[in-house]
Amino acid sequence: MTNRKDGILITATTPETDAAQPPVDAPVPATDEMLYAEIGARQGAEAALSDQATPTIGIEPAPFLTVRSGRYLFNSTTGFPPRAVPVRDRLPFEVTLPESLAGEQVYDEDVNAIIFYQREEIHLDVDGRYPQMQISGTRSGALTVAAHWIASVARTGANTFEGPIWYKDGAANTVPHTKVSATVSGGPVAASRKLTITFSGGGAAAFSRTYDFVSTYHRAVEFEFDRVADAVAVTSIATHAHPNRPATLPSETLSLETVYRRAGFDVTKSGGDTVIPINVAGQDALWTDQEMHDAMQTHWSRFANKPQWTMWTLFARMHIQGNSLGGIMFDDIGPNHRQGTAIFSGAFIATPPAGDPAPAAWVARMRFWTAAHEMGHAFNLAHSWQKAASPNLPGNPWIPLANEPLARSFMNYPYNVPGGQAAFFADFAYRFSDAELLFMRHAPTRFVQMGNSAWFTNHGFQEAARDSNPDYELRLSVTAPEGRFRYLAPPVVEAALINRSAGPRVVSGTRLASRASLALIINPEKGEPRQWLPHLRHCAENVEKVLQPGEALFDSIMIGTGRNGWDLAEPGRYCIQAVLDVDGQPVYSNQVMVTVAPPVSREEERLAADLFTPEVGQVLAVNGSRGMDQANNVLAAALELTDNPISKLAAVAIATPLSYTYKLIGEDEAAPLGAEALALTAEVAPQRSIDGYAPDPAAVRELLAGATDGRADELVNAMGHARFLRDAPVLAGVLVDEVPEGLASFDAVAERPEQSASMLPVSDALEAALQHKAGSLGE
Amino acid sequence: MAGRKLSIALEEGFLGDRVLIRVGGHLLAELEDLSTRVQIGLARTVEVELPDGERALSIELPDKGVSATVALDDNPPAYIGVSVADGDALTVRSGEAPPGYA
Repeated sequence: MTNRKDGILITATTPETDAAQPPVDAPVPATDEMLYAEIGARQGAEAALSDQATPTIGIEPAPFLTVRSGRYLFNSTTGFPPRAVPVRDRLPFEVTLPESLAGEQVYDEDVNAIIFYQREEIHLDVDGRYPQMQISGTRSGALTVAAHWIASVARTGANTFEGPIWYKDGAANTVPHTKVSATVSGGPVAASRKLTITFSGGGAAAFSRTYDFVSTYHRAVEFEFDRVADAVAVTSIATHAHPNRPATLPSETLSLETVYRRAGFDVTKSGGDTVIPINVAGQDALWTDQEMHDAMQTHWSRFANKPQWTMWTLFARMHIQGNSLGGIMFDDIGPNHRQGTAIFSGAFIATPPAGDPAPAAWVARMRFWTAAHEMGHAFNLAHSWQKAASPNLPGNPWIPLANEPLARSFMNYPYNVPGGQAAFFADFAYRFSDAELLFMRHAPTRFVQMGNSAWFTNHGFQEAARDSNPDYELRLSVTAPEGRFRYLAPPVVEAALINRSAGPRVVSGTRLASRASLALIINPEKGEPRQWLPHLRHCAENVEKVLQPGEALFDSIMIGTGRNGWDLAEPGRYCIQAVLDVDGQPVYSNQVMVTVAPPVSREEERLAADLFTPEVGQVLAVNGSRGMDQANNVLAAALELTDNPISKLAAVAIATPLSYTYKLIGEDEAAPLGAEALALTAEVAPQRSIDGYAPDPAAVRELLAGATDGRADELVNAMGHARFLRDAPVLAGVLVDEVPEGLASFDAVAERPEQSASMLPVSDALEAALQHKAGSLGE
Repeated sequence: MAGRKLSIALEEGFLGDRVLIRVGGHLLAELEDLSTRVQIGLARTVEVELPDGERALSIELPDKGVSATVALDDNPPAYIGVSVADGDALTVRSGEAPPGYA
């Protein structure tokens, strides 16, 4: 499919047109099985294996189009060098641009990066089965993938979606933007559908691009099921055969192909299903992993030592491990993992519980569940309780993930949840979790595709980490014991960019938290991952620093509040990870788990609604304001919660603007107008002036005395070490003669000689940490 | 209890670990470079025969300096599952039969 830059007729979306479309969030009708069967028949095996899929022309079941999600494609035929035209200069002006770009120049081509790629494939995931409200894209050249991005979107109109790009993989300059605005257009025939995306933000020139519809599925995959002669193969079940099931579970014959279609895959069969003679396993008829790998190479019609969107599933009777192994993704052997799985129909999965009301149906269901589970491993899905990174696990998840030990997913053991398998199947809808669907549909291809990323070593960032800049380590840590933060107190992460090379390295001295090249992802255990965005970015002349081997640049990042709001306001567990571009290469951090505790008092609950506002977050982030009275009133109330670290942060935020002459612009209506003003206007306008408000040492002293209360550890940790080291001199500066016991500055950042390091009543460990960090803070 | 067999499943969280299994000070098994196969949540299953009269089974990871002790009564379970949690703490579960792995 090719797009021509000129002469593309894009149907502009108008409220009238949108209103004429049928509802986009209607459920997929039951006749989709007919549609999917026809798509599979038309597409063919070769097309299923290739990313260069020919467009799948769907015959939409009545009543007309309801699903817009799927795969869309752009292929560039732009000459080199590319010439882009501002969209608004084109005649006729065809594209309706988002209102948020009203004053911005938007081009009809990617002026920033089009020389790096010629093709872009989009996965639109906003409706249909289990929508994840994501849009992702892969930009590639003739031979290689240049970059991959993922945006989390919300619906802004009947056919429009908008949201931030929260994940990028690959060359940073290939995806410079930070936001997408998408519009779907077209009629009931899927092939007529178009997707227009406007990319903006990130300091790059905005551009708009239109993609052609390819498929209602995100990716294509092929299955082959072989059976050993003495085994039972279960590739479909009747969902109502067993009485223990959710009351809302539809009655249907559910196949493994349908399970994965609902996960977003265009599933086809290779047509090579066979029965394997029993003597292949040897005299004992039990299978070893190596024997299964050999059988895969012999009997699988698609075997090749290369990544492919195709996999082999063997139904055998028993593994050499015995009755306790119901199935295994055995293919962590050789150069290309995850191409084969096996299910052992004679293992424990064939033994129903005593007294089960429908034992035959129970067995069929367990064999079916095991097959879908093992096949999920071939897609590089980990067990539900293994999602989060751990020093005791060999790989890393692709984004910060939280464990899902209670998930009603194919990837969780039914007998591991409270209440056991009975409780699991009573609440199981034969699906994957949202985090798993996000991965399968939107993660970079190589993380998911069979035979590509090694097993478990890229259910993530690990694969990307192979390209991590080896000269540096980006280390995240938290000072809160066990990573547990009190409710209301915004969590702070300590970041260190460490020189791990053998020689000195020159790095930018810009604060880590302020850099546009830092992407910090917050992934809640319940909810969607999101990128932390700082309230402020400073634009200043770059100051460089030299890091000797082992030396680090430090910063504190108040991840609890940012431009997106209070990302960690809700009690729960969050996984945090970051990537920083240094010298054109990414440096991936470790992952840290952060727990936000629930409120412990009514006072905390009452304050939450007022505290968790953008204004208060901003005031905390910028060290206070004398002009934002409402926010200051909330912080004054927070002072009362003396056993909560928020009271200490509030004290600092109130005290800091009181510690120096603070300028505010005021309006004096009684002041006479100047001659220039009189000449310009016939009306009497108030005179503006800049007034300076003197520091208030007494108030600062009282606030800080209360915040430190003889020991400053809690204050220092609540602020973050680097931030404390920067801000303490400002506060100490107003208290020339009476620095409270709880406050001091360190030699490295003292603005006045008399403020040298003194008797700061912090723990020895904290003092050592502060001394270590004082010499190397970001500017 | 003489001759009672016990199945010890070394399950989640093992990563190149050395594991010692003792009963009453007697070394029953020593395993080197043990790693969990994460796709089934199991590193290895060890079948041991419990000596008569012994009341405590210990599983040790000497290189990590952690261990767990399981009290054995007159009717010990047939199966014990041991995992290494984050922070290197050992967790132990028991039953009359090993759970299934998949």
